[in-house]
Amino acid sequence: MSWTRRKPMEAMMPAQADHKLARTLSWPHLLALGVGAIVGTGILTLIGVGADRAGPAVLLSFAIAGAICACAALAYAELSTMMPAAGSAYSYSYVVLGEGIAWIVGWSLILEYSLVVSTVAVGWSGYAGPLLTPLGFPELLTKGPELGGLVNVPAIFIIAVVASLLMFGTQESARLNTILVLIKIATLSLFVAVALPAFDAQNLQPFMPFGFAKHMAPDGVERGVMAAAAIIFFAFYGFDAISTAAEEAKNPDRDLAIGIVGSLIACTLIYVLVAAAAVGALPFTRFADSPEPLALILREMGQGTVARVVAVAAVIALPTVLLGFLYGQSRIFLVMARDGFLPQGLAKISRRGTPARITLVTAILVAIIAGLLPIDEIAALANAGTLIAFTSVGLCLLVLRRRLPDMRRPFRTPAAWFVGLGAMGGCAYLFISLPMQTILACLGWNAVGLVVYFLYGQKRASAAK
Amino acid sequence: MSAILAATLVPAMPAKSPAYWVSDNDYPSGALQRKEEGPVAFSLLIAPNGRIANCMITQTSGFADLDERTCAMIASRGRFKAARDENAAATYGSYRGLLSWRLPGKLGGPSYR
Repeated sequence: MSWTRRKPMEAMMPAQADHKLARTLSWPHLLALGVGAIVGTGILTLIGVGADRAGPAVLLSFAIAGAICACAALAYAELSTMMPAAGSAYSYSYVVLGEGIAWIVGWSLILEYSLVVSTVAVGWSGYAGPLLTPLGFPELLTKGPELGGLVNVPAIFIIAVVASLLMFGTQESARLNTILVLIKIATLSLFVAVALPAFDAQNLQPFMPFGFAKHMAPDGVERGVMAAAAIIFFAFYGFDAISTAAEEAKNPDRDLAIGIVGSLIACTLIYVLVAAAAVGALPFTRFADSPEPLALILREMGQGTVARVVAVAAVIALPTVLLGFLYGQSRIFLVMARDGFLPQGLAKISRRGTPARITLVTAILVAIIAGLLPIDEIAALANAGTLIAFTSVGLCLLVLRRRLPDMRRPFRTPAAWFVGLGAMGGCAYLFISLPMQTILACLGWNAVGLVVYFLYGQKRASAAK
Repeated sequence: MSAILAATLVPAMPAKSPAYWVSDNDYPSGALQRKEEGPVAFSLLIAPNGRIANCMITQTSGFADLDERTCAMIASRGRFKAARDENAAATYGSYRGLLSWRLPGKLGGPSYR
C-alpha cells in the first residue's frame, strides 16, 4: 500500500547529476530570504487591526504569535538540518509519516506558497496601478475580472520579473533580496526612531481593555489578546521558505538553523519594536482599525514626509515577499517532480544552476491565479495551508525523536516535546479559529487533492520507483 | 473649536467598550447601496455627567452619510466616565477616536502579508 510507504532517508537527495542544485547561499542570504518573506506591507496595517482587537495589549498578542511560530521554527530548524532536502515539510512528511500524508502536506503547501505570491503580486499592483493609469495605461488591464477589469497585468509583470531573476541566478537573486531587506529594515527603524521619543506610558492605560481570551464583542467583531494573536500569527510565517533552500546552502548544518531561527527572532524584534513605538506614541483609540495606522501616527506627530518615505519604501521592498515564496514553491515542486508527482523532466537544473523549468511552470501557475482569479476571496486559504504544514512539522519532530533517537541532529531543539506539542497545539487552535468558510474551503481543496492522488499521484509515485 | 478645547482638556475614558457603539445594523442604507466605506476620525467633548456634549469629525471618510452616522451613533450610545481635574472633581473631558466603516459580510479575510 503506497499510501503508508515511507521514502528512505538515503533517497532524499537527487540521484541524477543534472537534478543537483548549486550550493551558493550562506547564512546572511538565508537570514535575508526569511526576513524578506515574512515582512511585507502587512506591518503597515497590522497594528491598526491588532490595537482594535486587543488595545495596547496588542504587544502581548505579538509575543504570543511569535512564541507559537518559535515552536514551529525550532522544529523546522531541527528537521531541515537532519534532512537537508529542498521539499521542506513535504519532504519530511514523506520520510517520516508516509506518502499519503506527504501528498496532503504538499497539496497544502501549494495553498501557502502560491496564494501568498499571488496575493502579494495583486497587492503590489494595487500600488502600481494608480501610478500607471494617468500615463495612459488602460484601467481594464490593472485588475482581475471580479473587480470589473480584464486581467491584472501589473501583477503578472512583477511575477515575471521576480521569476526571471530567480531563473537567472540564485545567488544574484539573494544579493538583490538582501539589499531590499536592508531598505525595509532601515525605514521601519526610521519609524521607530521618530515615534519612540514620543512614548508616553499614559497611552498604555487601560492596557487590556478587551480582556485576554477571545470573545465576540457586541459589534460582531472577535476581540481580546488571543483574537489579535490569531490574526498577527499570519504575519509571521515565511521563515519556513528558508528550509526549501537546504540543497543550496553552502553549509546546511549551520546556515539553515541560523537562517530559520534568526529570521524569526529578527522579525519578532522588528514587530514588537514597531508595535511598542506605535501604541506608546498615541492613545490606541486614535489609530485602532485604521487602514494605515503607521502613516496616521506619523502625520499626527507632524511627520508627513516620514510617513510618505515609510510607505514608498515598503512598496519598493514588497517584491522580497514574492521572491521568498516563489523561490520556496519552485523548490517544493522540484522535489515533487523528482518523486514523480510531476513530470520528471521539469526537475532538470539549468546551466546556471537554477531549476529554471520548474520555476517557469510555478510562475505561470501563480500568474494565472494573480491575473484572473478573485484573490480577495481565496487569500485566507494560504493561512489554512500553512497551519497544516506547521502541524505536520511538529508531528515529524516528535515521531523522529521516538523512532530514531540517536540519529545525528546538527541542530537539536531544546525541550523537544514542549516545542513539538506547542507547534501542533498552537496551530490546531488557530486552525479552528479560522472563519468557517475558510476551513470548509481548505477541506474541499484537500478532498480534491485526495481524488487527484488516488487517480493520478499514487500511480506516478510508484512508477517513479 | 472643540479641537482646540480638546487639546487642553483632560482625557476621558469610555464607561463601556467602544465596541458597543456601532454594529453592522447601523450601516447607513444609502452608503450600503453605494458600497461606500472608509475610516472616520472624530473628537468628542465629554460633559461632567459623562454624556457627550459635542462630536466633531476631524478626518472625513469622504462620504457624508458615514460621517454623519458616526457622530449620531456615538452621541446616542457612547457613555463615559467623567474626566477628573487635579482636585478629583468631575470636569469636561476629551476623547479622540477612529471608526472604520467596512461593508458587512465581505468574504474571507485579508492575509496581512
